[in-house]
Amino acid sequence: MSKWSPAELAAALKAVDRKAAVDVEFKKKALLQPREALQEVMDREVPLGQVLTVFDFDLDFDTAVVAPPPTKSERLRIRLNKIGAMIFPEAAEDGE
Amino acid sequence: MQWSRYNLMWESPAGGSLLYNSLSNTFAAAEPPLAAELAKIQANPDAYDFSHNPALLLQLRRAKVLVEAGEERDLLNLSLLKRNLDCLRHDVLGLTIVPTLACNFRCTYCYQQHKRPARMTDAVQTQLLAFIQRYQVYGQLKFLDVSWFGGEPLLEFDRICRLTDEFLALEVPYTGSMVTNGYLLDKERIAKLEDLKIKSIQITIDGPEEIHNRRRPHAVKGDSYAVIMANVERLLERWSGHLSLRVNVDRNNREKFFEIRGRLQQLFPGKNLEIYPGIVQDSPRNNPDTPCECSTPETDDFLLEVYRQSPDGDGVNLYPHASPCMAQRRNSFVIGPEGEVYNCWHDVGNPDGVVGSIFPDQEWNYTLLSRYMVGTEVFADENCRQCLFLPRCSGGCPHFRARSLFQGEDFNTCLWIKSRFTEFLELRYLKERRKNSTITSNQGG
Repeated sequence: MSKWSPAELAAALKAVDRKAAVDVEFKKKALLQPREALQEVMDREVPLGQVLTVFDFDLDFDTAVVAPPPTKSERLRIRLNKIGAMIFPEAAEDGE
Repeated sequence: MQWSRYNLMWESPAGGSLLYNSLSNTFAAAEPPLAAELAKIQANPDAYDFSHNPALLLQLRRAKVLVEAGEERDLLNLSLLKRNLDCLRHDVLGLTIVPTLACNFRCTYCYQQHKRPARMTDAVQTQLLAFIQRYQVYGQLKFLDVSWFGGEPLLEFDRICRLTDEFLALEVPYTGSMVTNGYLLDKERIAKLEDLKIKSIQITIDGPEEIHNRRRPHAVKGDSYAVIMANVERLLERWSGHLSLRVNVDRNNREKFFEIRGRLQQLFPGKNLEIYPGIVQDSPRNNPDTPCECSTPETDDFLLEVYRQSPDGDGVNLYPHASPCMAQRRNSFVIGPEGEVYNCWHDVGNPDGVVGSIFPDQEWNYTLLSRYMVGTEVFADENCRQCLFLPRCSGGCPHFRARSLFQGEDFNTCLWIKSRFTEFLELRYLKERRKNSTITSNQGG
């Protein structure tokens, strides 16, 4: 299995950070199942390797609620957009 | 990249390495081959080749085991910001209401030195409602959380009923709780708990019957254990709330905790019941049965033993979760029977601990208020700023911390079991391993 270049490593960390910032389930995955998380954001195979077994963690340590959270209808729209992007990826890329 | 100064890594006697990071509050294990790799990463993170294991790099970055220059400072700032936002939030009004300072018990160790038979009057009740309504008028009341405390609050049960009716009429989400000795919790009062929206109750039992009766006698009738236990049984049959049974232990009855906990668990299987130890100790001196306690080598020993003997760690939560005390929160107060306001349960009845009043024409003690709310802040303490546990510590009990800082007294307010932390995490690791091996063997048929 091929190794990742430093540029690929940096891009992967950035992509995970971006997704984890808005997706709490993914944030958890990045800590507990990092290989699967990388697979999700990078379009290439992730080398097998031993990782930590995590027992305790705090998902909120790097966030603070300073503005009101999204409303119920905003959350629903975000979910629908995600589902729409899975069904019609071309439309999502075009921003339609 | 650098190895965070907030990491704690050590070799486990069970094999491999254990790793704790206080910035992210992450606890993890590295099995033997990985443990050796971690040692290399610790020695020189930038020289380590992650190209063959990007998943490990991701994990170490997400857990803040590896940090960029300046990142720790920024995360500490964020930690402080979160705490300030939490302390200053104004949507929840949390009131501990003391309808009376009188008590029907004569506990041998009572910490309320300033007890007197003061009872809430109708005038104070009216003013208390007006005090709460002020929050409503200014749009700062989205949730009202009331805890009934004393003295013994059930001595003023009618007052509690009348006040609750008024609170419910405000039409804001409401929840109640109560700290009581349980003696007056008879079937008539139990029947009213649901209407009073009392969702949780704390009752203290001091070990087996003979010890309890010696230490917590009724003022007139003497032995109290049998009455309380009968009430507890009835309560758990007829009420859907959560009951916390606090078992006070000291060096004389420490071993009895496990005995009485086992007995209570047998008596009330499957009930919404938590049994936990209250540590009666020499420090704080002369006031051993305090609502909050300080960590000492002796109490740490005992708590580790409780954790060791609890299959799921129930009854004792030793993992650090920094949460501000009510004394540090803007909208949390203790209201005394005469309308006096305190920041802290410890101060109830003590004129020197009064920070204000529910009466609008009375003055507030802003010196004391600010000592509690920001004067005990760990981020302002040079010693604390050097501590590995800073991101996870609220500075311990603000009452004892304030007394140490401003009155020259000597209390250890450091994080619980700080000096035995790795020992605790070892126990936690072994429990998790046992749990996983049980799951694996079950799955294997």
